[in-house]
Amino acid sequence: MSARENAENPSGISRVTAAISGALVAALIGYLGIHAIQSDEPPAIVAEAVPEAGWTRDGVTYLAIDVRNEGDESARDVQIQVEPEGDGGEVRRTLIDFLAGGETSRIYVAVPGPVREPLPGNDGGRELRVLVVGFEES
Amino acid sequence: MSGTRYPDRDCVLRAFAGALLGALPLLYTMEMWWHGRTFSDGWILALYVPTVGVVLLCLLFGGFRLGVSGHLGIDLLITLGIGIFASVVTLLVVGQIAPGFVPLSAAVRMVAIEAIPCAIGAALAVTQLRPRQRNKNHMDRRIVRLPEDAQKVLATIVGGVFFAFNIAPTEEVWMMTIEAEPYHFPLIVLFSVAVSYGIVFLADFAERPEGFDQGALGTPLAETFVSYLISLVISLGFLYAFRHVSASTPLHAQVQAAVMLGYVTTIGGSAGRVLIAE
Repeated sequence: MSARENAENPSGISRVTAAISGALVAALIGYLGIHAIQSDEPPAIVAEAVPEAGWTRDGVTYLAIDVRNEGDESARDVQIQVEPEGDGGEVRRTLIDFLAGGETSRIYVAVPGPVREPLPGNDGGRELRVLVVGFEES
Repeated sequence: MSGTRYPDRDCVLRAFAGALLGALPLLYTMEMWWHGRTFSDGWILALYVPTVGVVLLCLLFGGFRLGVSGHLGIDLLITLGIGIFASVVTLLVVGQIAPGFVPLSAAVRMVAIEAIPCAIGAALAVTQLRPRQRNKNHMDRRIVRLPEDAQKVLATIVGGVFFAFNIAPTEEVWMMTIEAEPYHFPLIVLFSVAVSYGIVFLADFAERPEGFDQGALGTPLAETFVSYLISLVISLGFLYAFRHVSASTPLHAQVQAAVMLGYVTTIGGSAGRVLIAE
């Protein structure tokens, strides 16, 4: 039997698969194309404490911080710093590998003892500030 | 149930299997997810231009159908679609894309970049998963209709791209380049060329087809050295594509990184030339 006689030429399933594939490829290319034209905002990193998501155990406060990239472009090696207000106290730094445009990443910083700010309404403990130190362009 | 009763269904399943077998290591590679999250949409779209060319070459080299098929356009669409499907399903199943886990735009880019090696794997399904029939007539290897020199060059490109893709996205290539001493690079060049020569001409994997000793690449040394140079160019292309190097990278560092990745690429190219000779 020759190769041509035995050929697996496209018939029903192949044509349906090709049609679905064409739709998938068009959707993917279309989405990427439209997004490429529409989105060019540089990374804008915002870090906010989330008091209700934190907890305290064995004298250590685990402070939840949501780090959000409000820009369109991705950022890498995003550095977040948590430091006490005023003088003194230990500065905590943490690093997020990648933050795509629109992505939010939740991190936890362990701080000895109770904390107050950024936990509004909590009068006990130290007042903390959450800062975005910087990032690398991806 | 015999697989030959539904050849049209079987070839689609074969393409899906080829996509997974060819790209599974990359679907599990962290750097590929990172590239998907950090590369711009425009950059990933640009990567699809050479991808279409490579997938077409892979279809000419082996494809996913048995026998002779003359519908390259349909096969190209099927291959790309199956690549996207395999990428979406795997990333969903392993939990790398999920609502709330990554934004939709990043998830689409992750799927898009992972779909590239999946599509290449699908287009090389028959080559990866040798069918039970050992009759060569069952292989739709349209590349063999080209002149011998062109066959060797294209087989080097197909094999080189297939192998290099498994290494190029990772950080190791650049890390190894930085950590290597200057004397390592000429040694890597010599070893790459020697291994390439050994695989194709000494290891006796396949008889060289008639006419393979003709043309500009008719001698083993010419074939080996030209294929090595092609492998270096492919390697440099991958280094640029995955942004390990840029135009601002010193030339010597670009060459060193190409030599480092070229070791992998040239072995893949040699495998491609062995397979074309089968």
